[in-house]
Amino acid sequence: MVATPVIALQSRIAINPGLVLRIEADDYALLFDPDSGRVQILNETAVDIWQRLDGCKTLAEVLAELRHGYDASDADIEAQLLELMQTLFALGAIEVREPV
Amino acid sequence: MSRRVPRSPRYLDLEITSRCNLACTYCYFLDNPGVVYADLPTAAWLDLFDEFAACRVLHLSFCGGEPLWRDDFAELVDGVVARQMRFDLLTNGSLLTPELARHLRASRRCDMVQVSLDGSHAASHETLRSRGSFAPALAAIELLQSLQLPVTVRVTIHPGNIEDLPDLARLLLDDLGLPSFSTNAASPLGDRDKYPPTALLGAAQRLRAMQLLAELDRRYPGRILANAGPLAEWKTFHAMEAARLAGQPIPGRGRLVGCGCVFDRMAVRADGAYTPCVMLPQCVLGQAGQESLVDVWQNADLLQRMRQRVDIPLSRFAECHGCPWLESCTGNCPGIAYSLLGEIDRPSPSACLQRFVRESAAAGRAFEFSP
Repeated sequence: MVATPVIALQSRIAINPGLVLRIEADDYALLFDPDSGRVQILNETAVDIWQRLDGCKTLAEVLAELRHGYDASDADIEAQLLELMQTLFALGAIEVREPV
Repeated sequence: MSRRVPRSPRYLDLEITSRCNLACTYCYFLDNPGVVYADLPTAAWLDLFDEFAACRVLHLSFCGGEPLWRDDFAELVDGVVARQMRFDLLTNGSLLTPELARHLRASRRCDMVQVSLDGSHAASHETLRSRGSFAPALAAIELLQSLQLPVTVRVTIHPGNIEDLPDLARLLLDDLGLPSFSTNAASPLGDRDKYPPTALLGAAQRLRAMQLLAELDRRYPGRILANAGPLAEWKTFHAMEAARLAGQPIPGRGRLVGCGCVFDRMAVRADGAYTPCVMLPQCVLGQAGQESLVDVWQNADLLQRMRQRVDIPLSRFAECHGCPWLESCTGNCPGIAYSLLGEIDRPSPSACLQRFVRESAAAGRAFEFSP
């Protein structure tokens, strides 16, 4: 059994290159796994975050970028970012590069 | 009423060939002067797959003609896999080899293989299909099952196989153990004049098929599927009558809402012409490879018009005046409306309840709603 990694602001997150992000409209997208056929709906914010996950930036750096674009408190943005990462990890949509 | 349209189609139906090894009487492609027999070569399809993948199309449906007629079919499957899409296959089954079936399985991207089977035995199946086509179709179903590929069957109902439906259901659901199969009826696709009376159901025959299918639906709950044809009509007609009796029309109807395809899918003909769907092969929207998929999807005049059909009330049409079911009617398939009437923006008479009640009475077989 693979241990669930700790996803923290120091983590560097890479997206699963086998998945397809399909932008349906301005406010949502589909995350499609061609191997399983599964589809997840991402809202506008999740899409924005997804597109910033390059495997190099830490989540702290992603968070810093997000602060400029959203009218919410730092704590809220951080909580939502980490929650999204947990969700995406559970779906096999991301890889947590460090720390594990 | 507006419905959102994604930036590109999610699904594309690809008629990868107009050719077929069979000659089924009711097939659109048979002896039809409107068909262009100019299949795109492999490289052209693979180039298009690049564009489809770039537009994030999710799913391709291989149809035809007979898709397995192409000797590059496995290469096209590989092309889909390499470009992160999934696919399904609509086939008569007769050209499916064990090697090809294993290739489909190995792709891990095949959602479904649909084999056409019209009867429980050769004489029934081959009434309007080529002689010798029954055994290979059955063998294909069993081969796909043996490899645990998702397989389904499409039964096209015509005057010659109605009475065989109970035996066919038994063969497919009991003997072969398929989870389900789907039904439709031969329809005058593209050019009504080419269809002989032996291919299309008259009112009395439709009613008989409806009654048999309704009985089978009770015997095999949820395992006989239909989006069109007698079983779909039976269910729709009863829902419309129930709504009328309750004085509560089915929500969202009473307008030309009978087709949702134009909101998420499109078709490509064998020669590369974009069309709204396989039911409208004569309505060319653009040429694949010359015009961009996204441009055609977003801007083709006919597609725009078809998406606006949902705003057209059925009360606008003289043939709908006085219809007690008007507010629960969808206006049905625009493809058949176009084939029969030459107009997209009209209700199709083919699945019109008011007309069916009239025609079945005229045929001496009055339609009665079952409890």
